[in-house]
Amino acid sequence: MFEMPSGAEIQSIISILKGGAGFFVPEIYLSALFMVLIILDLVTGRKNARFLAAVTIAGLVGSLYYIFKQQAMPDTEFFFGMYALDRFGIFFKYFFVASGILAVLLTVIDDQLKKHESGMGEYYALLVAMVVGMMMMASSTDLLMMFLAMELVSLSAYAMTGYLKRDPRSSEAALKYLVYGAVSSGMLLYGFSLLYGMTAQTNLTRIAMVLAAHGYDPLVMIMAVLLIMAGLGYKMGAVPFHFWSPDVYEGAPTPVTAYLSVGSKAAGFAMLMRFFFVAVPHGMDMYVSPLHIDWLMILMLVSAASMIYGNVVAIWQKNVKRLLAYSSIAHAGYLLLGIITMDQLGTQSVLVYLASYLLMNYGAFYVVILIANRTGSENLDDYRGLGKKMPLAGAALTVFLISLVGLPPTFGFIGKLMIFSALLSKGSLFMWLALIGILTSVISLYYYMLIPLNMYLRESERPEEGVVETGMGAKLVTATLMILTLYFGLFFQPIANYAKYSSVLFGAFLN
Amino acid sequence: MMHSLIQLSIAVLLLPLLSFVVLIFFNRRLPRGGDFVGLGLLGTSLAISLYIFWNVIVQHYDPAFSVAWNFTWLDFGNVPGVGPLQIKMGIVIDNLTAIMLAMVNLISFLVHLYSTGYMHGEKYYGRFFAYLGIFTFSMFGIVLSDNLFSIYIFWELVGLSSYLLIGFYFHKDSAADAQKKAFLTNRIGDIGMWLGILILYSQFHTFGYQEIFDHIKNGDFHMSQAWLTAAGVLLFMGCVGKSAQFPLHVWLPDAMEGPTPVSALIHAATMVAAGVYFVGRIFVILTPDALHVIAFIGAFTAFMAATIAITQHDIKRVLAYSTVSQLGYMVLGLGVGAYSAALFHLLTHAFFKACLFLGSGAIIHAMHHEQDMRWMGGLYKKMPWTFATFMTATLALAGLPLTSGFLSKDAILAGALGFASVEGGGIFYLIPALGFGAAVLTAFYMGRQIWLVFFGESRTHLKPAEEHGHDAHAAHGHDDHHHEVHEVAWNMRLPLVVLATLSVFIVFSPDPLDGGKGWFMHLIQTPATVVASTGAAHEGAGLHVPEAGKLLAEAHTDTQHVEAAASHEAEGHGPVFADPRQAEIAHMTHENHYTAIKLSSIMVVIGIGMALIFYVFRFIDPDKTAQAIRPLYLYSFNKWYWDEIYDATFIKGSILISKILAWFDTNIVDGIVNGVATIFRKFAFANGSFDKYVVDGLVNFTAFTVQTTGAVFRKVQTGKVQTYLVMVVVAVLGYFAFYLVHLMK
Amino acid sequence: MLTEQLLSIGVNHFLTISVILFALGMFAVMTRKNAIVILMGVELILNAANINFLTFSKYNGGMEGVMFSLFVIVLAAAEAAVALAIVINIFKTFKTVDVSSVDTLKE
Repeated sequence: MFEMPSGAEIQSIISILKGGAGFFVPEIYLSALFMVLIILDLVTGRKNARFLAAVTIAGLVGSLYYIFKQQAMPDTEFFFGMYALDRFGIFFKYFFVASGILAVLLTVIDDQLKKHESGMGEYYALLVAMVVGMMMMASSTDLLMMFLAMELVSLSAYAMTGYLKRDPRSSEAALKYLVYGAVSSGMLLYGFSLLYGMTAQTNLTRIAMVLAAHGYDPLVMIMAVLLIMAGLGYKMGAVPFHFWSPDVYEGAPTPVTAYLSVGSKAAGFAMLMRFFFVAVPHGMDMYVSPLHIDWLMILMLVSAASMIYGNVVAIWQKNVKRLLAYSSIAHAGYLLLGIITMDQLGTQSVLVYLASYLLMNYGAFYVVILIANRTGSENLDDYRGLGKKMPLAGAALTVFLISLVGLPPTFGFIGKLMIFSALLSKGSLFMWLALIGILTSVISLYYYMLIPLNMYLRESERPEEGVVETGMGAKLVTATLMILTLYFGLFFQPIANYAKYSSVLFGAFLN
Repeated sequence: MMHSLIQLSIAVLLLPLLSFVVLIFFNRRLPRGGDFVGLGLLGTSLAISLYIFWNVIVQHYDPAFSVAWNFTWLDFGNVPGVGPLQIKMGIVIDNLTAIMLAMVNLISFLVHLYSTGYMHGEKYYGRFFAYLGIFTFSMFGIVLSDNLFSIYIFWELVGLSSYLLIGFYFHKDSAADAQKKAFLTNRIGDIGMWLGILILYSQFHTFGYQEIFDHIKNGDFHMSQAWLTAAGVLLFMGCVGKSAQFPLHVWLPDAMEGPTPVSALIHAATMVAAGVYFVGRIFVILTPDALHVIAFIGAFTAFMAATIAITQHDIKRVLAYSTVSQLGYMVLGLGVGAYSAALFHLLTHAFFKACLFLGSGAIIHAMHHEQDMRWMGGLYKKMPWTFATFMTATLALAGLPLTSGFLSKDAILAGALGFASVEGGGIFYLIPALGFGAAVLTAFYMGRQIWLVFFGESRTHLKPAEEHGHDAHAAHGHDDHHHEVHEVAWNMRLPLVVLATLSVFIVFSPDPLDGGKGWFMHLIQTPATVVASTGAAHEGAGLHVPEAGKLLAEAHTDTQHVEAAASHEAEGHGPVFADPRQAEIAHMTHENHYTAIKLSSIMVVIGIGMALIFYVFRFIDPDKTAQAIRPLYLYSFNKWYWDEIYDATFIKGSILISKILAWFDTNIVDGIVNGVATIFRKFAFANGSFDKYVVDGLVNFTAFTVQTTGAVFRKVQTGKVQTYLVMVVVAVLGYFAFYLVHLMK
Repeated sequence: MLTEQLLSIGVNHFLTISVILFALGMFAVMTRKNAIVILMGVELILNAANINFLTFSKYNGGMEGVMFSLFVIVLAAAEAAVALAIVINIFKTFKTVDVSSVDTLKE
């Protein structure tokens, strides 16, 4: 049926691949790092956790150089239109490398993982593999590549979630994550297959062209979009596709929880933006789109539901990790607000929000780990009186939580402000969404502030213990994250400018 | 180029913040908890703000004085479909700012000084001064802001710091409850305010006052005037929350759980005045309809709170309700268009009410934390300084001639009379009527308080024995429990004297009967509104309204209004108004000035006379009277049952909703999932929450609804992964079905 | 006769089978208790998508669908490997592979 390609054709394919590889250096570099880590784990002894962590951080930092070099390259699509190099993708590459580095920093202080008997080799390898996967999620412009990238992230994440093999909570979380994730990606794949059937294309830009030129059956289209939304929504942790996240976040080792809640969520958003902005854009007119796809309505409902659900359920949580899980659902809702506007300002604000979320969420989890190392639990009641015993950590956590609420003068406030500005600059069309956003932020104030309340205003049950030392490195990281959160709350112009510069997607026409 | 005054005002703004930062981190390491840091920094900023005051008020003495400075804080660049989008921050200094700055700073400094005596020996002594610092900082921010955005930020900061201060005795449940109540009640108002800001922002893409005013003036407003009214009323909601107006007044009396210096600073002079100040700032965009709402709410609050104050036993609660009532006066004043009178009252009230609170603090301090007036009496000999200052401030509050309170209250009442006659009588006469009614009651309850506290025999021994346990302050460091009442130390006496001096008429006006001749009324004049009056709105509903207003104003040129306005100008009473309604009100206010003086003097005499009859000469026994009109007495004593009303409506209502939700959850949601009924647990939960949350009032309504929803929602998270998958499939298919139905149409 | 019937098999027949497979897979993951059977359900879902890809590739032309299904097959294998490791670990800790009884994390 298929003919063998001739020698000349093979030659040309190889030369195209070689040309494309030049745009793919960071990913290749990190894949090499992945393998190096596995080999290093084999050749070094059992007590190699710190060494591997150092190598991972060094490797990740090294990759920044290759990403930086990409900034000089023109926006382009390569590997037969499967992959794009654009400013949007580069922003996310920086983002994921940063989130990987922070995840390593969280891992080295975590006592639970430190006590893990069978070494940390695979852990860091998986972490790097996930960075590669997330980068690919943000840059893929082809359904196949998107699916593969997402599976790469998912498979690494399943393994990392269940990394504490002796801990039943970790195992349970891994099982739930696996079953839920496998089914969700199955739904996504089925949606992709329907889309492929309608267009005979897998490249996003060409899908958009075919859809615009030939039209489509609305019923099949809505089914495809819904199934794809189920897959993307699972990655983003947005209602009603969020169910896995509270359980997994609570059960997983805390560094993994932080990594999932920032990295994997951001990757989901990057992919959502690329998919919807490029493949099925709805044009300038909000409701009467040339394609008549009301995915905008789906996103609005998902966003509103996430904001409400995440915030009201978080009120009931007694476990801080679980509380932050619900809060991350709510944050997915806020982020969706920026996507709904579907313009450059909205994209810019989503990027800024993600950057702020990176700092504050990792910061919060960092302190949660420091506290859990001491008290052995993430229970809210065990936070009593910690403000005195751990002054720096307490102050830092308070700053991160204020930032998560979105109050000035923190970075989180800037993120929320930009999202709401973008939304309101569309006039009163999305007023109701902005209202829900603001009202739910008020609710979030309540449960976030429960933590400082316990730390500062409630007396500890063990007051005899004095100030707890956390080690110099931990102090340094805490202080840096806190200062950055405050610093960018005041001087955010560089980041806002960079986000604006980065809000250019290959093949998308944002206005 | 920054004006030197702006630079100075930035210094004023930042010094208290510095005090906060230093004290919050180092109060334990510094001697005396670091109180001298707070005092010193506040003293420095006081010196600067007095210089600003002197420079602006005394040297320039110009009603139109204004210096502004701003910088672009956030630049979105050129946004497609919107145009250039920037958020600016800045400072504006005009007469009002200079006066407010000096007033807030002076009172804050005096409260710092006073607290070194009053709070001495507290466990968290240093932290208290830190909180005072952050509060003063945010208050300065409100005063100096030149745009809605930054005022909102500082507004929230004020809310936060007052939350900290009210709950300073956080180990007491009542303080923790009051703290929560104050915070949440204020949030309700703030949400309204934020919505108002958003309406204006979505229309004009700017937060700056001046820019918004200019836009409205130029007719760039493309929505109907009803939207502008809505925006005005929503912004006013912020004031309703912060300045404790009906129906959100419930938090202020409870906030008396905070230390007394805090009550003086926050709940008498500054934070509660912020709401009035804010309405004053946005005064020019308020439409007549919005002003009517404001006037009625103010009048009702003034009267209602006064009726409650007459039966309270707690010395601070009487003052708290009196504050609510006086704030009602100010709001009433703004609503009727007596702009300068209302702000004048804000200033005079700040001084004499702070004096009263500090005085009551001195009494409470001397009486070893006895707050119930029934067990006081005969203090005037033992505490002569306190008595003299308290008396002066009381006279000012009651509005007796020769005091500052007389000047301002009288101006407001004259404005109310003028307003009522312009609006054409009928229901609008209710506003001055309620105002005068409140004046009688004010004189009465203050007379009662003075008598119960300072005169007669000491009734300490009459206190029932079982109540003695309550006054023991766990955190307070009074080790020796001797019951000798004595005058307080100089650091508590000095603030009283300063504040009492500032309650005398001569500070504000050379004429003891007319505040209009004073510097304040000259410098703070009613700004010309930027929206059209009612008549114009009817005619030009679809047109650009301000132009219609101008036309109308020209049509009136030959009538008496301009003459009236001209005569005002000659007497230094106010500007010529382009808007006929404002001109007419100003004219009628002037006409009614002497009527108001006479009426209010009569009212004060009646009030004091009644107090004398009941409490001094005891022609009529107050207890027997209370028995005779028991329903009325109880109605007042129980604060019009507002807490109970909120309880019965909102709380019970939300219980019902929660039951419905629980039913829905049990029969529908769970039915799909696994059919296991959990209704009993749900009811038990609802009942448990009922007990827990029924106590407070409106506040918990919101919290409760949210919590109940959360409680229902979280049951969806069953822990079974297959249930989750069912949910996802149901969601996808549900939306698909919705779409199908939609497509069929 | 038979040839005619075979020739008349068109795109709809393949799609119907694919939908049935997808539905069966969803049914399996939602109702079966055994973790292994759930994983088999996932395989059904993935293969339903594969049938779609191959069908569309055949009737629309182009090789993308074929490539897609090849990668999905490889990926399904990788996923099964990770999944089985996790399930074995669950069996060690909980002494069961009944998914519905693993529900300590909730609400």
